[in-house]
Amino acid sequence: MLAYAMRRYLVQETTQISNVLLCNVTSRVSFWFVVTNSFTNMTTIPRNDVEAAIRMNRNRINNAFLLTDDTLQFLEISSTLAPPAEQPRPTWLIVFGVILGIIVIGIVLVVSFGIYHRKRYKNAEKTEDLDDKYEAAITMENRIPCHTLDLKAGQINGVYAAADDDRFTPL
Amino acid sequence: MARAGAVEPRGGQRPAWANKLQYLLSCIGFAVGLGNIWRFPYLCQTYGGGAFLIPYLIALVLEGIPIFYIELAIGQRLRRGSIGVWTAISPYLGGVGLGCLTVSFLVSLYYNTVLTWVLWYLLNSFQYPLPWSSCPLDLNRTGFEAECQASSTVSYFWYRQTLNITADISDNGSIQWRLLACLAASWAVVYLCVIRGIESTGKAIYFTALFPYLVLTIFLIRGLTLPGAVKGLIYLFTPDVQVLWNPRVWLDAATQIFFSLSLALGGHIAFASYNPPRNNCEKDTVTIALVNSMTSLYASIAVFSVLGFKAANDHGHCLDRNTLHLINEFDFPDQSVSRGDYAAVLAHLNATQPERVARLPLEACRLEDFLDKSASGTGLAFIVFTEAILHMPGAPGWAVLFFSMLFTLGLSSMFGNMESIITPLLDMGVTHRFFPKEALTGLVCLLCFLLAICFTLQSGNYWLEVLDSYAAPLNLVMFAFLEVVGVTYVYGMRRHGSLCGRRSPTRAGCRPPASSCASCPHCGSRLWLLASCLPSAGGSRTPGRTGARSCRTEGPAEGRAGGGREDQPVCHLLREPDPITHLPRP
Repeated sequence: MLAYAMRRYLVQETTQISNVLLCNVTSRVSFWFVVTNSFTNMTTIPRNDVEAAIRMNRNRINNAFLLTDDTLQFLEISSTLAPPAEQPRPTWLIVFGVILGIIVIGIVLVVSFGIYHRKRYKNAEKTEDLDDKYEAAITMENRIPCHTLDLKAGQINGVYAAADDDRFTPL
Repeated sequence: MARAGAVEPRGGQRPAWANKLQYLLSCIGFAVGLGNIWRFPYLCQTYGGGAFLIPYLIALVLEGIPIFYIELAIGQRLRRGSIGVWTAISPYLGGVGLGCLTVSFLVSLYYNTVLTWVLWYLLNSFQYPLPWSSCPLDLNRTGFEAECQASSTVSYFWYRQTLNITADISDNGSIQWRLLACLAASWAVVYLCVIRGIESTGKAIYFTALFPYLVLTIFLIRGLTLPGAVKGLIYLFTPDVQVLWNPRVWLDAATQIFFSLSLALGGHIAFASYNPPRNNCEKDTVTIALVNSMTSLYASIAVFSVLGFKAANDHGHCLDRNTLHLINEFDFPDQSVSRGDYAAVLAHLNATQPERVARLPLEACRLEDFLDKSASGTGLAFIVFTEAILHMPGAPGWAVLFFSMLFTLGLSSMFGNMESIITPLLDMGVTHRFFPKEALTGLVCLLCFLLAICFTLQSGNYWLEVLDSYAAPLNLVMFAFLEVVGVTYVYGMRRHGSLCGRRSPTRAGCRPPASSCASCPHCGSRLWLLASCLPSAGGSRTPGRTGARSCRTEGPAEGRAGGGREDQPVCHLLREPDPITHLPRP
């Protein structure tokens, strides 16, 4: 596995399993290892290169053992963490837009209903006032202008005025 | 019913509740607020669990219910908002009403800001995984942000991604546009519901008052089935009677009942002023106060069961971390030591190889320590509870439920706050008759929104705490004291029948003399009545005279001499109309 990792990283096809030297193997599967240069069997590949190689292929190594970053630990190689799931667009903005839209529509409806209601009520009042005035006018008049009845003399009936000379009918 | 002195300043009839249920739900919604969820459980936990109920109930009976009764009674009786009511009792007491109006205004500013934060969390709950479940990565993506690492994911989300808080109150920072948008939305919601006064809140209250109970029940059922919940409940409710010797407990119980019932804000007076005059306000008082306290208890059971689950969870993680240290050190196979075995294994290792064990950074994992970690206020809602929700299966659904419950709880309290501002303004007639009520409400909401923008600054949380600590508490206590003094001594508590004018059935047919002259200075108390308010022959007309005559058999004649004189306009407001002719008695 490690040999494969080194192969991939160095783009050299020559690193073999025999280039990976293990030591300090314990029964709980932990060990120290070095990777030797395949060309010159004595020198070891520098630490940074090995670290970089492992980092690149970490996923593959984990999967080979059916382990995770938590259970297969390379000391002092911190794992590159997967980025948290980034939403393409902020979800909260969508929900916010929906809620705000509903509220604004609600306010507009309530206010316009109130205005409409008030206009109707005002119109109804106006027609009632006119009826009252009309009633008052009729009541005032009663088919005879009241002010004409205020004359102290009253209405003079012309029939009787003409018959002044023979007021008394002979028996 | 035409009543002299009770003419509406804007003409027309005073609005009335569509039915009794709306009135009850409005008062309950106003009383039951965020404090029932995040203050009462904390107090219960801090002050000896079940033992806290003793000072709480005593405070309810001796302090909460009486002051609450006074507010509902005078509001219903005098049919005015807070300023009108106190001016009617005595012109010198008008300042109490003005003070209540101002405090309500200040409270609604920062209360709606809390709702803004709740709304922000609610909007962010509609995604999986929840945004406060993981820290953001640092720049080279090898680890998490240092700030997040040092605290926790939920704290980071609250302090950095929501508030973006600065280090100091003097450093104001910039306006957080996300919070500004949520602030606009929450004030728009409040405006939509309060737009026509009790006509519109009466319809909205059915949902906003009842929905929290539904969600609390769901949380209770869910919470009780979570692992560790029952242990948490038992630990948190076990009474520790020794704590009652601490006077601080009694003080906090009294404070809690006072603010829980939302007294002295003028909201209850406003709500009661729209009642029919013969409403039974005594029964309402006891009902609403009991419902409020029962809700606190119910909520604390639900909250404690979830907190117990969280404590058990954290305890388990603590054990896991210690186990990992042991396994790494002693080369045990992975997962060979379960949580139950941990104690035995540790004891064995301590006995055999104590030096190696001593070198390990083991934490002390005690369940009681995790259970004792308590929080109140925004810390409970936005940090502790959100973290608990993360561990529940189906977390986004629970988050949506929780934050919508908080939002509706706060919204129904906001209705009361807004009514306590708008009702006195309408009663004072600050606007012209034809100025629509919707416009006045809109202006008030707009003004509150503009002023509350200061809470969306980066230092907004500090300003809110300042306002919360100093604007409301002392002022409300003072106003409540003045209310009690005003009603007891100036208005006169000793009267036949009820303070709110409800006729008691035993006195049917007898006009309660309590109807007349209540605040005329020389008739303000029983002593004065006996001495100087005996029915005088001739002279001034006594409105209660006919009533007094028919009621003579029941007690000393309480005819109010000089009570109905026309030069004392205050008495006009308090006279009851003749039930037959529906006109005020001369």
